[in-house]
Amino acid sequence: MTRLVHSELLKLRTTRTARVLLTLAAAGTAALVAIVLLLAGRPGQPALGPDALRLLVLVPAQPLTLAALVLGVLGMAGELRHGTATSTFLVTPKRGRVVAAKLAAAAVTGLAMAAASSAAVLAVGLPWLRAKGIDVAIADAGVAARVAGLAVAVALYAVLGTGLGALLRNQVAAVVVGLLWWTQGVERVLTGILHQPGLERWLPKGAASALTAPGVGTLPMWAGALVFAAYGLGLALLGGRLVARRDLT
Amino acid sequence: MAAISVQGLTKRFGDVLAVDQLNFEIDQGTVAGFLGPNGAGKTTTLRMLLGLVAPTAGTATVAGRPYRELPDPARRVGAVLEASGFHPGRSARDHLRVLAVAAGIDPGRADQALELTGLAAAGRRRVGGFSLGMRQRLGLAGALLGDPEVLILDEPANGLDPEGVHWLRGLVRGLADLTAGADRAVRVRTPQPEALRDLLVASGARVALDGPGQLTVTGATTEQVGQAAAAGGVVLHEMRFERSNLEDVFLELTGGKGERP
Repeated sequence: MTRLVHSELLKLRTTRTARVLLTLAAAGTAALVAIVLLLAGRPGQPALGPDALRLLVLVPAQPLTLAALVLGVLGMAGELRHGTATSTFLVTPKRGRVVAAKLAAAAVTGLAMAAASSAAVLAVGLPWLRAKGIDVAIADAGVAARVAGLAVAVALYAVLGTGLGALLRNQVAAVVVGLLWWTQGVERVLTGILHQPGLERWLPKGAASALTAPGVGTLPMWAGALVFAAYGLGLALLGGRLVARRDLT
Repeated sequence: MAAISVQGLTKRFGDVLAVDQLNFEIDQGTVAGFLGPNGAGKTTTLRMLLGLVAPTAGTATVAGRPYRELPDPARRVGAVLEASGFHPGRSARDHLRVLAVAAGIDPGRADQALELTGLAAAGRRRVGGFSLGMRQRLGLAGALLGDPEVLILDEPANGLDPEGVHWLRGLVRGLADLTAGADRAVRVRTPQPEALRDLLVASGARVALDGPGQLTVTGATTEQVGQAAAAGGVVLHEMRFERSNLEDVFLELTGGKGERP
Protein backbone atom coordinates (compact mmCIF):
# COMPACT_ATOMS: atom_id res chain seq x y z
CA MET A 1 0.00 0.00 0.00
CA THR A 2 2.84 2.42 0.82
CA ARG A 3 4.36 1.94 -2.61
CA LEU A 4 1.01 2.64 -4.24
CA VAL A 5 0.73 5.93 -2.35
CA HIS A 6 4.31 6.73 -3.40
CA SER A 7 3.41 5.97 -6.99
CA GLU A 8 0.35 8.24 -6.81
CA LEU A 9 2.41 11.05 -5.29
CA LEU A 10 5.00 10.57 -8.03
CA LYS A 11 2.20 10.86 -10.58
CA LEU A 12 1.23 14.19 -9.06
CA ARG A 13 4.83 15.41 -8.95
CA THR A 14 5.58 14.51 -12.56
CA THR A 15 2.90 16.60 -14.26
CA ARG A 16 2.35 20.32 -14.04
CA THR A 17 -1.08 20.27 -12.44
CA ALA A 18 -0.08 19.82 -8.80
CA ARG A 19 2.95 22.10 -9.13
CA VAL A 20 0.82 24.87 -10.62
CA LEU A 21 -1.80 24.45 -7.90
CA LEU A 22 0.81 24.57 -5.14
CA THR A 23 2.42 27.69 -6.62
CA LEU A 24 -1.00 29.28 -7.03
CA ALA A 25 -1.86 28.40 -3.44
CA ALA A 26 1.16 30.30 -2.16
CA ALA A 27 1.21 33.18 -4.65
CA GLY A 28 -2.57 33.60 -4.75
CA THR A 29 -2.76 33.62 -0.97
CA ALA A 30 -0.05 36.24 -0.73
CA ALA A 31 -1.93 38.43 -3.19
CA LEU A 32 -5.29 37.97 -1.45
CA VAL A 33 -3.83 38.73 1.96
CA ALA A 34 -2.17 41.87 0.57
CA ILE A 35 -5.50 43.05 -0.85
CA VAL A 36 -7.32 42.44 2.43
CA LEU A 37 -4.60 44.31 4.32
CA LEU A 38 -4.70 47.23 1.87
CA LEU A 39 -8.46 47.57 2.15
CA ALA A 40 -8.63 47.00 5.88
CA GLY A 41 -10.39 49.69 7.84
CA ARG A 42 -12.15 51.26 4.85
CA PRO A 43 -15.95 51.45 4.94
CA GLY A 44 -17.46 47.96 4.83
CA GLN A 45 -14.13 46.25 5.41
CA PRO A 46 -13.00 44.72 8.70
CA ALA A 47 -10.62 46.71 10.83
CA LEU A 48 -7.34 45.14 11.90
CA GLY A 49 -6.99 44.30 15.58
CA PRO A 50 -4.88 41.97 17.70
CA ASP A 51 -6.86 39.02 16.33
CA ALA A 52 -6.20 40.00 12.68
CA LEU A 53 -4.35 36.73 12.01
CA ARG A 54 -7.52 34.74 12.70
CA LEU A 55 -9.15 36.60 9.86
CA LEU A 56 -6.16 36.44 7.53
CA VAL A 57 -5.48 32.68 7.69
CA LEU A 58 -8.97 31.98 6.33
CA VAL A 59 -8.81 34.60 3.58
CA PRO A 60 -7.64 32.03 0.95
CA ALA A 61 -10.10 29.33 2.09
CA GLN A 62 -12.48 29.60 -0.87
CA PRO A 63 -10.01 29.37 -3.77
CA LEU A 64 -7.93 26.77 -1.91
CA THR A 65 -10.81 24.39 -1.34
CA LEU A 66 -11.92 24.79 -4.95
CA ALA A 67 -8.40 24.03 -6.19
CA ALA A 68 -8.23 20.93 -3.98
CA LEU A 69 -11.58 19.72 -5.29
CA VAL A 70 -10.39 20.08 -8.89
CA LEU A 71 -7.07 18.39 -8.05
CA GLY A 72 -8.91 15.36 -6.68
CA VAL A 73 -11.20 15.11 -9.70
CA LEU A 74 -8.29 15.37 -12.16
CA GLY A 75 -6.23 12.75 -10.31
CA MET A 76 -8.96 10.15 -10.58
CA ALA A 77 -10.91 10.96 -13.75
CA GLY A 78 -7.72 11.99 -15.57
CA GLU A 79 -6.54 8.38 -15.53
CA LEU A 80 -9.58 7.37 -17.51
CA ARG A 81 -9.39 10.39 -19.79
CA HIS A 82 -5.76 9.78 -20.75
CA GLY A 83 -6.05 6.01 -20.77
CA THR A 84 -3.37 5.61 -18.11
CA ALA A 85 -5.92 3.64 -16.07
CA THR A 86 -5.08 0.60 -18.20
CA SER A 87 -1.42 0.47 -17.20
CA THR A 88 -2.26 1.47 -13.63
CA PHE A 89 -4.73 -1.39 -13.24
CA LEU A 90 -2.42 -3.84 -15.01
CA VAL A 91 0.23 -3.20 -12.38
CA THR A 92 -2.35 -3.15 -9.55
CA PRO A 93 -5.35 -5.25 -10.60
CA LYS A 94 -6.99 -4.78 -7.19
CA ARG A 95 -8.48 -1.45 -8.17
CA GLY A 96 -9.84 -0.57 -4.74
CA ARG A 97 -6.25 -0.27 -3.55
CA VAL A 98 -5.50 2.21 -6.34
CA VAL A 99 -8.48 4.34 -5.34
CA ALA A 100 -7.42 4.20 -1.69
CA ALA A 101 -3.88 5.26 -2.63
CA LYS A 102 -5.28 8.12 -4.69
CA LEU A 103 -7.35 9.31 -1.72
CA ALA A 104 -4.25 9.30 0.48
CA ALA A 105 -2.15 11.11 -2.14
CA ALA A 106 -4.89 13.70 -2.71
CA ALA A 107 -5.15 14.32 1.04
CA VAL A 108 -1.38 14.73 1.37
CA THR A 109 -1.31 17.18 -1.54
CA GLY A 110 -4.23 19.08 -0.01
CA LEU A 111 -2.30 19.38 3.26
CA ALA A 112 0.74 20.65 1.35
CA MET A 113 -1.38 23.26 -0.43
CA ALA A 114 -2.86 24.44 2.86
CA ALA A 115 0.60 24.56 4.46
CA ALA A 116 1.98 26.63 1.56
CA SER A 117 -0.98 28.95 1.86
CA SER A 118 -0.72 29.43 5.62
CA ALA A 119 3.02 30.04 5.29
CA ALA A 120 2.24 32.75 2.73
CA VAL A 121 -0.29 34.33 5.11
CA LEU A 122 2.33 34.60 7.83
CA ALA A 123 5.06 35.75 5.44
CA VAL A 124 2.94 38.64 4.16
CA GLY A 125 0.73 39.32 7.14
CA LEU A 126 3.17 39.41 10.05
CA PRO A 127 5.62 42.04 8.71
CA TRP A 128 2.71 44.09 7.39
CA LEU A 129 0.84 44.15 10.69
CA ARG A 130 4.05 44.84 12.59
CA ALA A 131 4.81 47.75 10.28
CA LYS A 132 1.37 49.16 11.05
CA GLY A 133 2.11 48.86 14.74
CA ILE A 134 -0.54 46.19 15.36
CA ASP A 135 0.66 43.74 17.94
CA VAL A 136 -0.56 40.24 17.06
CA ALA A 137 -0.02 37.09 19.05
CA ILE A 138 1.38 34.25 16.96
CA ALA A 139 0.88 31.70 19.70
CA ASP A 140 -2.86 32.16 19.58
CA ALA A 141 -5.01 29.06 19.97
CA GLY A 142 -7.65 30.58 17.71
CA VAL A 143 -5.13 31.01 14.90
CA ALA A 144 -3.75 27.50 15.35
CA ALA A 145 -7.25 25.99 15.30
CA ARG A 146 -8.10 27.86 12.09
CA VAL A 147 -4.85 26.85 10.37
CA ALA A 148 -5.42 23.20 11.33
CA GLY A 149 -9.10 23.35 10.39
CA LEU A 150 -8.31 24.84 7.00
CA ALA A 151 -5.70 22.13 6.33
CA VAL A 152 -8.23 19.42 7.18
CA ALA A 153 -10.88 21.05 4.99
CA VAL A 154 -8.55 21.39 1.99
CA ALA A 155 -7.38 17.77 2.36
CA LEU A 156 -10.98 16.56 2.60
CA TYR A 157 -12.02 18.59 -0.44
CA ALA A 158 -9.30 16.76 -2.40
CA VAL A 159 -10.70 13.46 -1.06
CA LEU A 160 -14.21 14.48 -2.08
CA GLY A 161 -12.95 15.42 -5.55
CA THR A 162 -11.29 12.01 -5.91
CA GLY A 163 -14.58 10.35 -4.99
CA LEU A 164 -16.47 12.53 -7.46
CA GLY A 165 -13.99 11.64 -10.21
CA ALA A 166 -14.39 7.94 -9.46
CA LEU A 167 -18.18 8.18 -9.40
CA LEU A 168 -18.62 10.12 -12.64
CA ARG A 169 -15.47 8.83 -14.40
CA ASN A 170 -15.83 11.44 -17.14
CA GLN A 171 -13.31 14.17 -16.32
CA VAL A 172 -15.21 17.05 -17.90
CA ALA A 173 -18.51 16.00 -16.34
CA ALA A 174 -16.90 15.58 -12.92
CA VAL A 175 -15.22 19.02 -13.07
CA VAL A 176 -18.45 20.68 -14.24
CA VAL A 177 -20.56 18.99 -11.55
CA GLY A 178 -17.98 19.87 -8.91
CA LEU A 179 -17.83 23.52 -10.00
CA LEU A 180 -21.61 23.87 -10.17
CA TRP A 181 -22.06 22.40 -6.71
CA TRP A 182 -19.25 24.49 -5.28
CA THR A 183 -20.12 27.87 -6.86
CA GLN A 184 -23.86 27.89 -7.34
CA GLY A 185 -25.11 27.56 -3.78
CA VAL A 186 -26.88 24.31 -4.57
CA GLU A 187 -27.14 23.45 -0.91
CA ARG A 188 -28.71 26.82 -0.03
CA VAL A 189 -31.28 26.42 -2.80
CA LEU A 190 -32.02 22.89 -1.61
CA THR A 191 -32.58 23.94 1.99
CA GLY A 192 -34.75 26.80 0.71
CA ILE A 193 -36.93 24.45 -1.30
CA LEU A 194 -37.28 22.11 1.66
CA HIS A 195 -37.89 25.00 4.09
CA GLN A 196 -35.27 23.49 6.36
CA PRO A 197 -32.72 26.25 7.00
CA GLY A 198 -31.11 24.19 9.75
CA LEU A 199 -30.27 21.46 7.23
CA GLU A 200 -27.59 23.37 5.38
CA ARG A 201 -24.85 22.94 7.95
CA TRP A 202 -25.29 19.16 7.64
CA LEU A 203 -24.79 19.17 3.86
CA PRO A 204 -21.22 18.72 2.51
CA LYS A 205 -20.28 22.32 1.80
CA GLY A 206 -22.19 23.55 4.82
CA ALA A 207 -20.36 21.09 7.05
CA ALA A 208 -17.02 22.12 5.54
CA SER A 209 -17.79 25.76 6.27
CA ALA A 210 -17.43 24.90 9.96
CA LEU A 211 -13.72 24.73 9.07
CA THR A 212 -13.40 27.33 6.33
CA ALA A 213 -15.71 29.99 7.79
CA PRO A 214 -16.48 29.12 11.41
CA GLY A 215 -19.13 31.33 12.90
CA VAL A 216 -22.79 31.59 13.71
CA GLY A 217 -24.89 28.78 12.23
CA THR A 218 -22.03 26.39 11.45
CA LEU A 219 -21.33 23.16 13.29
CA PRO A 220 -18.48 23.02 15.81
CA MET A 221 -15.18 22.54 13.95
CA TRP A 222 -14.71 18.91 14.96
CA ALA A 223 -18.29 18.00 14.04
CA GLY A 224 -18.04 19.77 10.69
CA ALA A 225 -14.81 17.89 9.96
CA LEU A 226 -16.42 14.54 10.82
CA VAL A 227 -19.55 15.17 8.76
CA PHE A 228 -17.55 16.44 5.77
CA ALA A 229 -15.13 13.51 6.03
CA ALA A 230 -18.09 11.13 6.02
CA TYR A 231 -19.39 12.69 2.81
CA GLY A 232 -15.95 12.53 1.16
CA LEU A 233 -15.24 8.94 2.17
CA GLY A 234 -18.79 7.85 1.38
CA LEU A 235 -18.51 9.27 -2.12
CA ALA A 236 -15.07 7.70 -2.54
CA LEU A 237 -16.37 4.32 -1.40
CA LEU A 238 -19.26 4.48 -3.85
CA GLY A 239 -17.01 5.66 -6.66
CA GLY A 240 -14.34 3.12 -5.79
CA ARG A 241 -16.82 0.28 -6.05
CA LEU A 242 -17.93 1.52 -9.45
CA VAL A 243 -14.34 1.84 -10.68
CA ALA A 244 -13.58 -1.67 -9.43
CA ARG A 245 -16.53 -3.22 -11.22
CA ARG A 246 -16.57 -1.42 -14.54
CA ASP A 247 -15.07 -3.04 -17.61
CA LEU A 248 -12.09 -1.13 -18.91
CA THR A 249 -12.54 -1.43 -22.65
CA MET B 1 1.17 -26.07 -16.56
CA ALA B 2 0.19 -23.78 -19.43
CA ALA B 3 1.35 -20.18 -19.14
CA ILE B 4 -2.01 -18.99 -20.38
CA SER B 5 -5.21 -20.98 -20.17
CA VAL B 6 -8.63 -19.90 -21.39
CA GLN B 7 -11.65 -22.12 -20.73
CA GLY B 8 -15.19 -21.48 -21.97
CA LEU B 9 -14.50 -17.75 -22.02
CA THR B 10 -17.59 -15.75 -22.94
CA LYS B 11 -18.36 -12.03 -22.98
CA ARG B 12 -21.64 -10.40 -23.79
CA PHE B 13 -21.98 -6.62 -24.14
CA GLY B 14 -25.74 -6.10 -24.10
CA ASP B 15 -27.03 -7.84 -27.23
CA VAL B 16 -23.58 -8.37 -28.70
CA LEU B 17 -21.86 -11.66 -28.03
CA ALA B 18 -18.26 -10.50 -28.31
CA VAL B 19 -16.56 -13.74 -27.27
CA ASP B 20 -18.34 -17.09 -27.36
CA GLN B 21 -17.05 -20.14 -25.47
CA LEU B 22 -13.38 -19.69 -26.28
CA ASN B 23 -10.84 -22.34 -25.27
CA PHE B 24 -7.07 -22.32 -25.72
CA GLU B 25 -3.81 -22.91 -23.91
CA ILE B 26 -0.39 -21.44 -24.55
CA ASP B 27 2.83 -22.88 -23.15
CA GLN B 28 5.72 -20.96 -21.70
CA GLY B 29 8.31 -19.97 -24.29
CA THR B 30 6.05 -20.11 -27.31
CA VAL B 31 5.11 -17.27 -29.62
CA ALA B 32 1.41 -17.56 -30.36
CA GLY B 33 -0.49 -15.37 -32.78
CA PHE B 34 -4.11 -14.47 -32.20
CA LEU B 35 -5.71 -13.99 -35.59
CA GLY B 36 -9.17 -12.92 -36.67
CA PRO B 37 -11.03 -10.21 -38.56
CA ASN B 38 -11.93 -6.89 -36.93
CA GLY B 39 -14.64 -7.32 -34.34
CA ALA B 40 -13.83 -10.99 -33.77
CA GLY B 41 -13.27 -10.31 -30.05
CA LYS B 42 -9.48 -10.50 -29.94
CA THR B 43 -8.99 -7.38 -27.87
CA THR B 44 -11.90 -8.25 -25.57
CA THR B 45 -10.35 -11.68 -24.97
CA LEU B 46 -6.97 -10.16 -24.10
CA ARG B 47 -8.63 -7.64 -21.79
CA MET B 48 -10.50 -10.44 -20.01
CA LEU B 49 -7.25 -12.35 -19.69
CA LEU B 50 -5.71 -9.27 -18.06
CA GLY B 51 -8.54 -8.65 -15.60
CA LEU B 52 -9.61 -5.38 -17.23
CA VAL B 53 -12.92 -6.76 -18.47
CA ALA B 54 -15.00 -9.20 -16.43
CA PRO B 55 -16.05 -12.32 -18.37
CA THR B 56 -19.75 -13.17 -18.58
CA ALA B 57 -18.76 -16.82 -18.23
CA GLY B 58 -15.68 -18.99 -18.25
CA THR B 59 -12.18 -18.46 -16.91
CA ALA B 60 -8.90 -17.04 -18.09
CA THR B 61 -5.75 -17.74 -16.10
CA VAL B 62 -2.10 -16.79 -16.24
CA ALA B 63 0.31 -19.16 -14.52
CA GLY B 64 -2.72 -20.97 -13.13
CA ARG B 65 -4.39 -17.96 -11.57
CA PRO B 66 -6.85 -15.30 -12.68
CA TYR B 67 -4.83 -12.14 -13.44
CA ARG B 68 -6.48 -10.18 -10.63
CA GLU B 69 -5.22 -12.72 -8.11
CA LEU B 70 -1.59 -12.73 -9.23
CA PRO B 71 0.52 -11.54 -6.30
CA ASP B 72 3.04 -9.77 -8.51
CA PRO B 73 1.42 -9.22 -11.91
CA ALA B 74 4.06 -6.87 -13.38
CA ARG B 75 6.74 -9.52 -12.97
CA ARG B 76 4.51 -12.21 -14.44
CA VAL B 77 2.86 -10.52 -17.37
CA GLY B 78 3.74 -7.54 -19.53
CA ALA B 79 1.05 -6.22 -21.81
CA VAL B 80 0.78 -3.66 -24.56
CA LEU B 81 -2.84 -2.84 -25.30
CA GLU B 82 -4.24 -0.58 -27.96
CA ALA B 83 -6.33 1.81 -25.91
CA SER B 84 -3.76 2.29 -23.17
CA GLY B 85 -2.46 5.78 -23.01
CA PHE B 86 -0.01 8.14 -21.41
CA HIS B 87 -0.41 11.46 -19.68
CA PRO B 88 0.74 13.92 -22.36
CA GLY B 89 2.46 16.13 -19.81
CA ARG B 90 4.55 13.39 -18.20
CA SER B 91 7.94 12.35 -19.54
CA ALA B 92 8.49 8.81 -20.82
CA ARG B 93 10.94 8.11 -18.02
CA ASP B 94 8.54 9.39 -15.34
CA HIS B 95 5.73 7.30 -16.81
CA LEU B 96 7.87 4.19 -16.34
CA ARG B 97 9.04 5.25 -12.88
CA VAL B 98 5.44 5.68 -11.74
CA LEU B 99 4.66 2.12 -12.85
CA ALA B 100 7.88 0.74 -11.35
CA VAL B 101 7.19 2.28 -7.95
CA ALA B 102 3.64 0.90 -7.92
CA ALA B 103 4.93 -2.56 -8.86
CA GLY B 104 7.75 -2.52 -6.32
CA ILE B 105 10.36 -2.65 -9.09
CA ASP B 106 13.62 -0.68 -8.80
CA PRO B 107 12.88 2.66 -10.55
CA GLY B 108 16.33 2.39 -12.17
CA ARG B 109 14.82 -0.32 -14.32
CA ALA B 110 12.96 2.48 -16.16
CA ASP B 111 16.22 3.58 -17.80
CA GLN B 112 17.01 -0.01 -18.81
CA ALA B 113 13.57 -0.40 -20.37
CA LEU B 114 14.04 2.87 -22.28
CA GLU B 115 17.41 1.63 -23.50
CA LEU B 116 15.90 -1.70 -24.53
CA THR B 117 13.18 -0.05 -26.59
CA GLY B 118 15.41 2.56 -28.23
CA LEU B 119 13.92 5.48 -26.32
CA ALA B 120 16.90 6.39 -24.15
CA ALA B 121 17.45 9.71 -25.94
CA ALA B 122 13.77 10.68 -25.69
CA GLY B 123 13.26 9.54 -22.10
CA ARG B 124 13.05 12.99 -20.56
CA ARG B 125 10.75 14.39 -23.19
CA ARG B 126 7.02 14.71 -22.59
CA VAL B 127 4.96 11.96 -24.16
CA GLY B 128 2.61 14.53 -25.69
CA GLY B 129 5.18 15.13 -28.42
CA PHE B 130 5.75 11.45 -29.20
CA SER B 131 4.91 9.84 -32.53
CA LEU B 132 2.67 6.76 -32.70
CA GLY B 133 5.72 4.54 -33.09
CA MET B 134 7.43 6.09 -30.07
CA ARG B 135 4.29 5.59 -27.98
CA GLN B 136 4.23 1.98 -29.09
CA ARG B 137 7.83 1.59 -27.97
CA LEU B 138 7.02 3.24 -24.65
CA GLY B 139 4.13 0.82 -24.20
CA LEU B 140 6.57 -2.02 -24.76
CA ALA B 141 9.02 -0.49 -22.32
CA GLY B 142 6.25 -0.50 -19.71
CA ALA B 143 5.45 -4.13 -20.49
CA LEU B 144 9.11 -5.15 -20.15
CA LEU B 145 9.62 -3.22 -16.91
CA GLY B 146 9.05 -6.21 -14.64
CA ASP B 147 11.02 -8.59 -16.88
CA PRO B 148 7.85 -10.71 -17.18
CA GLU B 149 7.48 -14.37 -18.12
CA VAL B 150 4.54 -13.69 -20.41
CA LEU B 151 4.18 -10.88 -22.93
CA ILE B 152 0.78 -10.01 -24.35
CA LEU B 153 0.86 -7.65 -27.30
CA ASP B 154 -2.21 -6.27 -29.03
CA GLU B 155 -1.27 -4.97 -32.50
CA PRO B 156 2.31 -4.34 -31.37
CA ALA B 157 3.59 -3.35 -34.81
CA ASN B 158 1.08 -0.49 -35.11
CA GLY B 159 2.86 2.69 -36.07
CA LEU B 160 6.33 1.15 -36.01
CA ASP B 161 8.63 1.94 -38.92
CA PRO B 162 10.21 -1.00 -40.82
CA GLU B 163 13.24 -0.84 -38.59
CA GLY B 164 10.98 -0.90 -35.54
CA VAL B 165 9.10 -3.96 -36.76
CA HIS B 166 12.39 -5.70 -37.43
CA TRP B 167 13.54 -4.86 -33.92
CA LEU B 168 10.23 -6.03 -32.40
CA ARG B 169 10.51 -9.33 -34.22
CA GLY B 170 13.98 -9.92 -32.86
CA LEU B 171 12.88 -8.94 -29.37
CA VAL B 172 9.92 -11.32 -29.31
CA ARG B 173 12.00 -14.15 -30.77
CA GLY B 174 14.74 -13.60 -28.22
CA LEU B 175 12.36 -13.44 -25.27
CA ALA B 176 10.58 -16.60 -26.36
CA ASP B 177 13.85 -18.52 -26.57
CA LEU B 178 14.96 -17.07 -23.25
CA THR B 179 11.83 -18.12 -21.38
CA ALA B 180 11.34 -21.46 -23.11
CA GLY B 181 11.04 -23.97 -20.33
CA ALA B 182 12.04 -27.61 -20.27
CA ASP B 183 8.78 -28.58 -21.97
CA ARG B 184 9.98 -27.21 -25.27
CA ALA B 185 11.55 -29.50 -27.83
CA VAL B 186 15.18 -28.81 -28.69
CA ARG B 187 16.62 -29.99 -32.00
CA VAL B 188 20.24 -31.03 -31.82
CA ARG B 189 22.68 -31.91 -34.59
CA THR B 190 25.69 -33.89 -33.49
CA PRO B 191 28.08 -36.42 -35.03
CA GLN B 192 27.67 -38.58 -31.90
CA PRO B 193 23.88 -38.86 -31.47
CA GLU B 194 23.88 -42.12 -29.50
CA ALA B 195 26.44 -40.88 -26.99
CA LEU B 196 24.46 -37.66 -26.40
CA ARG B 197 21.20 -39.60 -26.13
CA ASP B 198 22.60 -41.79 -23.38
CA LEU B 199 23.90 -38.78 -21.49
CA LEU B 200 20.58 -36.96 -21.69
CA VAL B 201 18.41 -39.98 -20.89
CA ALA B 202 20.54 -40.52 -17.82
CA SER B 203 19.66 -36.99 -16.69
CA GLY B 204 15.93 -37.58 -17.17
CA ALA B 205 15.26 -36.02 -20.59
CA ARG B 206 13.29 -37.70 -23.36
CA VAL B 207 15.24 -38.13 -26.57
CA ALA B 208 14.21 -39.24 -30.05
CA LEU B 209 16.63 -40.06 -32.86
CA ASP B 210 15.26 -38.29 -35.94
CA GLY B 211 17.79 -39.29 -38.55
CA PRO B 212 21.51 -39.38 -39.11
CA GLY B 213 23.06 -37.03 -36.58
CA GLN B 214 19.69 -35.53 -35.50
CA LEU B 215 18.02 -35.62 -32.10
CA THR B 216 14.87 -34.11 -30.66
CA VAL B 217 15.14 -33.55 -26.91
CA THR B 218 12.27 -32.75 -24.59
CA GLY B 219 12.45 -32.27 -20.85
CA ALA B 220 15.73 -30.34 -20.95
CA THR B 221 16.66 -26.76 -21.72
CA THR B 222 19.31 -25.84 -24.29
CA GLU B 223 21.57 -25.01 -21.38
CA GLN B 224 21.17 -28.48 -19.87
CA VAL B 225 21.75 -30.13 -23.24
CA GLY B 226 24.91 -28.09 -23.71
CA GLN B 227 26.19 -28.94 -20.24
CA ALA B 228 25.51 -32.65 -20.73
CA ALA B 229 27.34 -32.56 -24.06
CA ALA B 230 30.32 -30.72 -22.61
CA ALA B 231 30.53 -33.06 -19.63
CA GLY B 232 30.50 -36.12 -21.93
CA GLY B 233 32.86 -34.65 -24.52
CA VAL B 234 30.19 -34.76 -27.24
CA VAL B 235 30.51 -32.34 -30.15
CA LEU B 236 27.44 -30.29 -31.00
CA HIS B 237 26.95 -28.88 -34.48
CA GLU B 238 23.65 -27.14 -34.01
CA MET B 239 21.06 -26.68 -31.34
CA ARG B 240 17.78 -24.82 -31.76
CA PHE B 241 14.26 -24.76 -30.48
CA GLU B 242 11.67 -26.46 -32.56
CA ARG B 243 9.29 -23.87 -33.94
CA SER B 244 5.59 -24.42 -34.32
CA ASN B 245 3.91 -23.53 -37.57
CA LEU B 246 2.17 -20.56 -36.00
CA GLU B 247 5.49 -19.16 -34.88
CA ASP B 248 6.79 -19.47 -38.41
CA VAL B 249 3.69 -17.65 -39.66
CA PHE B 250 4.17 -14.85 -37.15
CA LEU B 251 7.83 -14.45 -37.93
CA GLU B 252 7.15 -14.54 -41.64
CA LEU B 253 4.40 -11.93 -41.34
CA THR B 254 6.38 -9.54 -39.19
CA GLY B 255 9.60 -10.35 -41.00
CA GLY B 256 8.09 -9.75 -44.42
CA LYS B 257 7.00 -6.31 -43.37
CA GLY B 258 10.08 -5.65 -41.36
CA GLU B 259 13.00 -6.49 -43.65
CA ARG B 260 14.95 -3.47 -44.57
CA PRO B 261 14.99 -2.70 -48.31
